[in-house]
Amino acid sequence: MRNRRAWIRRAAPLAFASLAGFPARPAATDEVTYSVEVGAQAVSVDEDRDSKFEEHRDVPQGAVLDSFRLGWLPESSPWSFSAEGRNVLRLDQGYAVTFGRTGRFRVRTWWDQVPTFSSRGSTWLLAGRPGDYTLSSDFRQVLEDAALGGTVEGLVPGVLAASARPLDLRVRRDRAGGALTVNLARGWDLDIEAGREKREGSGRISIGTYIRSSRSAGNFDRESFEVRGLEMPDPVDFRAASYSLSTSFHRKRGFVTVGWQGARFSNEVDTLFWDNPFEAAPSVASASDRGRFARGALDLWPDSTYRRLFASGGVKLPARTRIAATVARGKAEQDDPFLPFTQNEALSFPGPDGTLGTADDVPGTDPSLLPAASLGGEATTTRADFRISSRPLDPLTVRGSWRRYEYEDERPELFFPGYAAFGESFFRAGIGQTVGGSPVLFNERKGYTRTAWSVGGSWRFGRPASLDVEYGSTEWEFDERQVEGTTEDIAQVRLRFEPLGWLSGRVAWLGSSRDFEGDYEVGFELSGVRDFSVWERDRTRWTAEVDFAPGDDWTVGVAYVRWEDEFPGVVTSPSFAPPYGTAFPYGLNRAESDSASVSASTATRRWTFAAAAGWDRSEWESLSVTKTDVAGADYNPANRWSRRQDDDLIWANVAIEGQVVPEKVRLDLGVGVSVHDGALETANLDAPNVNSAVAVPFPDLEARLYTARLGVRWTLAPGVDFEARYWHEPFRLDDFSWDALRPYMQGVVEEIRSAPSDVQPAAAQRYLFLDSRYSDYTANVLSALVRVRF
Amino acid sequence: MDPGKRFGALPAALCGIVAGLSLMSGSLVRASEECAACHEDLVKGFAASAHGRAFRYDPQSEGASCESCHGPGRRHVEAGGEAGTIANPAKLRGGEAADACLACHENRLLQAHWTGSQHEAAGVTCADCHAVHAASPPRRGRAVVRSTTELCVSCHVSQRKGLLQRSTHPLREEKMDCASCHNPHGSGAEHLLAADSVNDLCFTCHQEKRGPFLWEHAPVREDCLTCHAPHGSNHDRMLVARPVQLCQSCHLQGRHQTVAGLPTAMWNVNRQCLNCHPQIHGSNHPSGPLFQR
Repeated sequence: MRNRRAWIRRAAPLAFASLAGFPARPAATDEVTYSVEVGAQAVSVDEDRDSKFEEHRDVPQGAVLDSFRLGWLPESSPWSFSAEGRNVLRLDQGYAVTFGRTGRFRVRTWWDQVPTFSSRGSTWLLAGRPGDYTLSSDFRQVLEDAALGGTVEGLVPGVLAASARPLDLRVRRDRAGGALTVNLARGWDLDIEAGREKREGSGRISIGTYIRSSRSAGNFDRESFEVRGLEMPDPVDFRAASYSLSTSFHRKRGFVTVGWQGARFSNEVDTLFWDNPFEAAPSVASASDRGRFARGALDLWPDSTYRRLFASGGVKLPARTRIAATVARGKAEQDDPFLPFTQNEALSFPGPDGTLGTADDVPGTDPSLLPAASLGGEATTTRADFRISSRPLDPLTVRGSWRRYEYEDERPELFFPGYAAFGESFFRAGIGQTVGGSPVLFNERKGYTRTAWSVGGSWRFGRPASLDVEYGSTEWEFDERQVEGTTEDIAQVRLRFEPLGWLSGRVAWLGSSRDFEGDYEVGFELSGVRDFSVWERDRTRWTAEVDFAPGDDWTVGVAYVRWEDEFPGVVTSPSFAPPYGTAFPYGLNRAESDSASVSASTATRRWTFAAAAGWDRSEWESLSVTKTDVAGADYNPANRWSRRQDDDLIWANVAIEGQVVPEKVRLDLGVGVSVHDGALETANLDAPNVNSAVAVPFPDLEARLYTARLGVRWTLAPGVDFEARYWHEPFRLDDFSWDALRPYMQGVVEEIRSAPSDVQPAAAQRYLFLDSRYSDYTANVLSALVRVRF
Repeated sequence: MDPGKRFGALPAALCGIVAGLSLMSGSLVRASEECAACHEDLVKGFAASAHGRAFRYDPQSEGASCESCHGPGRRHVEAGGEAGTIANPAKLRGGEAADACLACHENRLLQAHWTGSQHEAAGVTCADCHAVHAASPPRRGRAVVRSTTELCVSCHVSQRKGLLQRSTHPLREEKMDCASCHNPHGSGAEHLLAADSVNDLCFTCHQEKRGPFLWEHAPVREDCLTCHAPHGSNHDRMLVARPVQLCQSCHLQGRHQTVAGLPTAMWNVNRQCLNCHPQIHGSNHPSGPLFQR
């Protein structure tokens, strides 16, 4: 193992650096070192989009200053200083200055930018003040008329596309901060750190604006839906600050650290108002129509604060025993003012007798009529962990750990008379919650406590092998979930072997079983049935690794991991009708993955080669049922259907570095490949009796990334290099969820009702999205750089 | 005698004892000079390393020398440098391999949870990741290779795929590295996390999602990893599965069935379920109990 790691340490950096395009770091042998990489590059990014290419980086055309560094590290003095920068004057630039006196103090300051380029897009919304999008009344009327007439799709290529304004959906994160470490006295350190962050730009956010009409007595399945999706630029204007202060006392026998952390988040644009493109004016709800709204509001991230106190300590005991513990308590608070239920003044409220009232009856647009002006929410986290480890005999190590993490949800429970879901003119009573049999709407507490313990030990059979076993349990207790809690027992065994100097490996097995406590409470209309995060689960994981050195200069590693989750339990319901039975494993049934990889590396005096490749497969299988209005069997098992998602990934990278002409010409070559194929399949288990449960094929998903970098570096003089680089990177993506609606990301889908029992008679969907997506690109970058080092 | 065993029997306070004796006898300088007579390159490079500077200038390392880690060297010198006559921590296995390092580092917060940690249990030793004789890398001040991520994926080979997958954290761009989230020396938290929990860790960068919110989504509040694969994913937003598959693994509402077909249906296109439930991480809107506002 060690032999392999040693070689990998020499070769792996090449593989990574070749992919990342890192500049080589100058050797710091002299007292003062200075290096700079400057040059020019030509960039060509063509085909569909370039947003994915520059998702988190900036690759500009023209002159570039890739990096600089100034260092002062004298052997004759405890003082040191360094200043460095990367990607100077780009959107992903970063700088750091460090100075200090060894053994006394160290100061580091930094400023870094992280871009996130989602995509380019287009919209018809007009930006007024930040967080307020408007549309002209005439334009909306055209859209509404077209929507009612079912001709939106005909409008888009013409009127809509011509009216759209282009968008650059880009967010930039600026991070700046400083850290100071001071040695106050022997064995007493003080650490102070402070940071500020600013995030600005535009992301994307969606909102549903569907309408429901033709409502008749009975269930929703007798209604007509028209789903109207709208996507908007998400205004991002965040500020965040973080601070920490801690002090440590350490001696030979033990240590203790105590500290405080604080953070504050503020959102400069915390509400998003928008004109509904589909509705020029609100309409009042009626017995058969839930009405429409013309203006909506979305509550964006609220301001919040966080504080944390922590202490950590450890002590050495006889028999090479050590105990370490950490306790921490944090508190998050949020008290942003609430928005009103809706902006829709046409809101109506169904009275006790089922008749619809007027807007005066409900607190729709008046925030003062809410049960509270703000949440006044608090949440406290408490962490405590304790670990003991002992080596009473040279070959024997035993260990034990206990850990508890508690999330105390201290938000006040607020009871609301109802809510206006998407802004339509109909005030809903609730979402299925009841107290004493009466419907209510309140914010359930989501607190929980997680307690985990484990004991284990290992025995080393001399150099050739060692055996490690561990057993533990993790228990969750919930305030308000479908179950009272879960308990998972976990066992694992690891065998490491090194029978020969050139051969080593590891085999490991993990098995666990999770069960829930109490009765499983089936929630709103089967929502929450078998939530996979709290349901019964059997987990198995196998790991096998072998490393060997076929020659003095070669190492090869092979690894395989299989991981499988089974969710064996079933749910029962009296509404499940025979002849199919009354118990079904709805929800996620199984999730599994396989991962295999191989790596190889070698090095000679002039050349280094490293390669790694792998195959990954993951699969999710679930079972669903379509709701119908079959009397006494809303969830007729005839309408069951299964869904399987299968993802295969093949990846590889190769790096070669060497001296073509010793001390004169170097060559760097890096190649990376990632090939993803995804399948989404649905299948009927029986003959469904409604159209909406009929399985049909989905298109496959494909993503391909190929990246290749070639660099040739000539040493012109001592400390002066010239480097020519070429970087070729094509990316291909076929994702029907984006591609299906190309080129304008809008569309109309008419669903055909097959039978009176079908769930969506004459339902339709209309969307106006931002055309925000990334897709194919091919990038070519040619660079010429001069690197000077002193 | 196996030199490893001999070294392993040294008490954890070896560093202090040897350093103290060396200081008293003035053997600190002699030890380095004698070592340099044969190991010239190592000793020369060591002077500029973090260890070298600490040995020279840090009062807390006062008296430290080559023997602080390698044990008494007299026998080695007398044997003419014969291999096996001096301890070499880099060639040891098991708990003994870390004794020399822990003698000084065990009681520092960063390494305090090493003993009993996942890496220790897996047989990883300090020398597997650290080159203790090397000049300190300028940016990190510790004797690690050029980047933390490249070091980690050299053993965690399968995680290398995340660098090339459709969605991932900005690791390739070196805006993050593995140590941004993990403390490889051990942590009381799960997965060697450098925070109290998965969520507390994510909130250090994604502060806007901390809340608390008026309406909370239980799986979100409990564990971000329920839905996200932070090391990289074949799906957008680092999701563990397509949104519709992921959401409907729990939510089986009849009115939201994916209708098995219709790839262009609202719940299958664009942001899928999030087209109408954008605030899935929590909503603070009175009309947002289903995360739609």
